[in-house]
Amino acid sequence: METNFGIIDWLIVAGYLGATVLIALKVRNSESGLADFLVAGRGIRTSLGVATMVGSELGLVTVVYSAQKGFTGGLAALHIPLVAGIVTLLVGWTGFIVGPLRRAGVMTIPEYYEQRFGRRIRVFGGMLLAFAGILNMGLFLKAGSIFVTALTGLESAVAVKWVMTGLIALVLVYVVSGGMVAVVITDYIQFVVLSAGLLISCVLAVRSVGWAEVVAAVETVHDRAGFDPFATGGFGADYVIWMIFTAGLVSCALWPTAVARACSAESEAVVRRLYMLSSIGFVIRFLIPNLLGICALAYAVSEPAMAARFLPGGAPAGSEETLAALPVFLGQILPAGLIGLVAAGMLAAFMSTHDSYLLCWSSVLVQDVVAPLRRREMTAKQRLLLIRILIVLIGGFLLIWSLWYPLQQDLWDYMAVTGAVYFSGAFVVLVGGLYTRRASPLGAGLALAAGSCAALGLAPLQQALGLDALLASFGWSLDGETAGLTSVALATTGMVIGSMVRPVTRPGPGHPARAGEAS
Amino acid sequence: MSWATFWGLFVLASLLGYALLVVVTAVGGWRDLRHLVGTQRTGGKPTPASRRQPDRETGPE
Repeated sequence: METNFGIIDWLIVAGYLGATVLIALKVRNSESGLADFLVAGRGIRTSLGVATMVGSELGLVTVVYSAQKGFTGGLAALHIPLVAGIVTLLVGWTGFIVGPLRRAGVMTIPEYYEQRFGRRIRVFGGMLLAFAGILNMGLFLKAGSIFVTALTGLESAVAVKWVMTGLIALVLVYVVSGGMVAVVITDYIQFVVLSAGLLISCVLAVRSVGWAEVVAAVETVHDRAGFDPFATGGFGADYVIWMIFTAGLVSCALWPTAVARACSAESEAVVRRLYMLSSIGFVIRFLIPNLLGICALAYAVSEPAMAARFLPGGAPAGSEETLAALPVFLGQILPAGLIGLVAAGMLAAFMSTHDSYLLCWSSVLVQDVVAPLRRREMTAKQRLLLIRILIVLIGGFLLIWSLWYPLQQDLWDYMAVTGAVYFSGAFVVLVGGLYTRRASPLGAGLALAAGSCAALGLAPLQQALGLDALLASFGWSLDGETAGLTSVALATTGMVIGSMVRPVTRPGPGHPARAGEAS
Repeated sequence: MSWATFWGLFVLASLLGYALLVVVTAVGGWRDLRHLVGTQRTGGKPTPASRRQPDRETGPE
């Protein structure tokens, strides 16, 4: 389709990405140890913490899936940023989960599992976390390349594959070289550039279609369900509760990349301030792309070519198609120069998200699975080498998964379900471990195992197991939010039963009864 | 108040709040970044820059 992306924009993108990689290579020698590589020596203060936290979470993939949610859900999708902001503010205010975690002085959540429940739970929790996390980012490359190709007008299938390969290669060079300090630097640059670019894009998008037209288009396509998130036929109350949990609590207090920021902060006071200030960032990471997606919907209603592609028969097209609605829209309304800046910011955001996630999952595998299983202590040098090898291997997997997995639901819903494989159990284990004395290792193990049932919310997995046909024969269906909420309930039940059957006999160093001793 | 008005006001307030946060954080973050890179380069020892800029949150080093 038509786009305003031109040579000047290509130059801006190339210059920006080149400069970012150079910075990563420059800080390479300044990182001396494992703590520097993973948590930047715990030297991050409030302002930089806020910038990197928002920078890391406001990625290209977030923009793509949130815009899709705005396109397919209308203004009612704005309940997601609303609950995300409120919950993050409450977490900062109360220090719920993140405060005691920082006090525990751990680098990862599974490390806390070991303190509180023993080594086996750490290894099991680490494996589940890495599995869910890698699966969760499995479609990042696809989303990123669809965005790039649609924005630049290179929309052939071959171009998408080449862009995927090029993007992952760039990220791998960068993250293997740099570590956490490089991640912090790019997160900061990306926060400033992308925030400015997206704020300007929002103003231009609303001006180009008009707010009254946005409201009219949402009414035409989605009717009442496009405004009221509780309306039947739209999101519904169960989806809103699911969002309070996933977009709210999980995003800020349970997802390891966010928790890594809490563990990197100088003190618990900094953590709480960081979360309270970042709450507006957690609103914005969903709100801006939601709004742009809604504007793209209004634009599609008024443009016959867009309507034919993205609104066939007056309803939103399939999930892989609607991912491209935002970049096509931006390619047509943004002027040359600005579009290059937005593209460069988006690509930097893509790298920023990838580097944080690759570093996170590979370090979980090494620190929480491989190292505890080995009889001999691993040296810091061995750990760093293994982390770098795993980063490359995970990168290869991402490329294959992005090429082959058939996305049959909105990208955000895919991510919520895959993430739930980890966080349904982790939520119960962390709350049980941090705030109760009775939570036992057996309870924790059962909770983690039960939480992984959330994977049944994935449509292709249901088809592979024949579950969809079985449920259909009873007139039922299992959507992502039902599977996720059920897995949380199952995990809670597992924790209660396991802790009653085999209670805690000798409290470990992370047990609330020994809170004052370790530190 | 209709849902459309509510969402409109929510969007406006959030965008204005975020614009303010970006400006404040960009300035403060730049200062923190210089401190972090300086500390990494000197292996954790204070740099001339960090001596001149004691951390407002934890006091002088």
